[in-house]
Amino acid sequence: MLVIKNLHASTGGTPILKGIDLEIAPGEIHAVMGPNGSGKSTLANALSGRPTTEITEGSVLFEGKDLTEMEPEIRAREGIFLAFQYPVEIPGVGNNYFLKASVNAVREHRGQPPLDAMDFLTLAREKLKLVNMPNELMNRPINAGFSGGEKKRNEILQMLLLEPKLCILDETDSGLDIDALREVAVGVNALRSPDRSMLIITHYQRLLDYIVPDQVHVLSDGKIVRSGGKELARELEETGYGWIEQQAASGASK
Amino acid sequence: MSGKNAGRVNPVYTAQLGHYRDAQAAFASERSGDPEWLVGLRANAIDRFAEIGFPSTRLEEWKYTNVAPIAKDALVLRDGDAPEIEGAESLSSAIARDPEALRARFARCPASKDRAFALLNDAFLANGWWVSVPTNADVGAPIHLRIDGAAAGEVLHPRVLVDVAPGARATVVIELEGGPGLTNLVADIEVAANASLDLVLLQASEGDARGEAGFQVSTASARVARDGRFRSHTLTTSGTLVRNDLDVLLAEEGADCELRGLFLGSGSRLIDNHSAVDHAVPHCNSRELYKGILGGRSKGIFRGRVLVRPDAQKTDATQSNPNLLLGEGAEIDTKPQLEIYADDVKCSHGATVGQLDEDAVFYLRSRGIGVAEARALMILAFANEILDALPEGVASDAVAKGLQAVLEEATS
Repeated sequence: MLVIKNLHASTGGTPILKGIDLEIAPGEIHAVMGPNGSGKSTLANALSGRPTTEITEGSVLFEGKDLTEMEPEIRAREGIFLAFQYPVEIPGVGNNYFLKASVNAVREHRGQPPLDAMDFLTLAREKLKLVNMPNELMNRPINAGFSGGEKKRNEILQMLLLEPKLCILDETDSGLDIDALREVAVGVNALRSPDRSMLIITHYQRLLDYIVPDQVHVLSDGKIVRSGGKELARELEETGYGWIEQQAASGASK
Repeated sequence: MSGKNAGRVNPVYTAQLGHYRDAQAAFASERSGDPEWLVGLRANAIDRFAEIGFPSTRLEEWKYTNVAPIAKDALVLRDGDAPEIEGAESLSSAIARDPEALRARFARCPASKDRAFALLNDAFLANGWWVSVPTNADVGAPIHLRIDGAAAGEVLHPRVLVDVAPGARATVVIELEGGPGLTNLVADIEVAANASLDLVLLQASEGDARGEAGFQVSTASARVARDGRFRSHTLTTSGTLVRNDLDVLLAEEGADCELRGLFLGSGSRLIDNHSAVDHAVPHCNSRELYKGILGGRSKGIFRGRVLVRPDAQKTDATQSNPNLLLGEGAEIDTKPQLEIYADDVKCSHGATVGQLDEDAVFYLRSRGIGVAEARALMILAFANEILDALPEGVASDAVAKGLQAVLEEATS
């Protein structure tokens, strides 16, 4: 589904990603972990097409299509979804209007007829229930005045509505208490299917107790320095990221 | 040129002063049968206008707005009579019916003093309406005054008087149709005790949205009595050169005003909004929110002055002017001003100038919404804060069309 080869990317002229290789097959869940500043969010931004992240080298193929030349909205319509670490507040644009426009943009791209207001509302209510959010949330402006937990659940709600093929979760667990974390995990697990892949970016292991990954990768200084099974996440939780820095320091001294 | 007035006269624009003097003489001779006070008011106004001429950019109040495009031509008076409208009496009818009442009403209007455009309106005063809302009346549907645009080379001087009697409530819409000429409106408003008025000034003609026309100058004054409420909505999407002056006097305790505005610039248009709120007595509130959206090479000006006089304790005043600049060459000059002479008051003011929030645009795009639509959504969201607060029954269709023109320019 996703094939990343030798990906280099920079933000504001500063190189952040320095050669990422990663393959995700349909149905697989991959976790990317790493210390702050290792390039985790830049990877998410490079995949979703944030204009401030510039891909300088390498290739990204999504279902065989070159992603690097695609506008962000086209990537979204093709089935890539980024759950933001910091969802943006947009006062003045209603959640309802936004989500309907978004769902219908994706449907149109897939050759499906648009949902009318009634059908959309029915669908939205079903998904709202999954993330334990009140219906009145639809009448509020996008994320405006939402608590941290509500913002993250709103991200998962959007993911449930758009039914993407590749879900990228950028530190979705940050700032969540344990109850909110569980609710988010319920929403994410509802989307698990043999043809849907996920890339979960996180600093901590605890989200991975609820969403169990097939593979875990450790990112350091823009490169994947170690890959392994789900037990790697637990190991990292126990040992911390200190060994990476030591490794980097000894590498530099050689 | 006398030394005293040297700063007030722009030598470039004196060429047409004789034209206006002659035009006024002709106008006055046709109306020699009018009441003496009216004849006198016109004569004094043209004399004063001929002394001071059109304002130059050396005047602080006109620093950013060059009226040369208006002042360079000898504009011909477009004469005509305002049609009778339900709830509004034409001035010509009021002159015939009760000239003494009208004289008393005009006596309460603030003098035009050194305001050149208001003086010109005085000098050619004939056309317009007097809206009187009787005591405790609740006028449901808006009273809609539509003023046709002036043709090329023409000038109109409409005058609107609005009186809302104690306990009454009304909405008045003054719609200025576009035209390549000059529309020079003067409005005077009295909101009596416990009365409430929503005044909408609509400068949103469709042709103008394409940037074809015209000049619009408005000078409005409002006085609000005890526990009265005045809300204004100034919506500007048309006109190549627009200048609006709005002065509000909170004259008695408990008076409240809310001044709201939305101005949209595209092409190379200029929109200048000046306002002044005078807190003359204690326990009055004023809220001011003007939002500007400027694309292309358009220019916006905002001047808001709030004066809190020494006696006006417990004043609560806010003033805000956020602006969105969409064009590389677009420009805004904004200056909220507070002058406070009382010590127990709550006042705040602020202005911001920003571009579209690109993080928000990316957020929308990352959900499949196209870049043009995402930008349009953001611009609409910015405007909606003003449009959503319009009084009931006031269609903002015309404004929506103006928005469309700005959107097309901003997203193309």
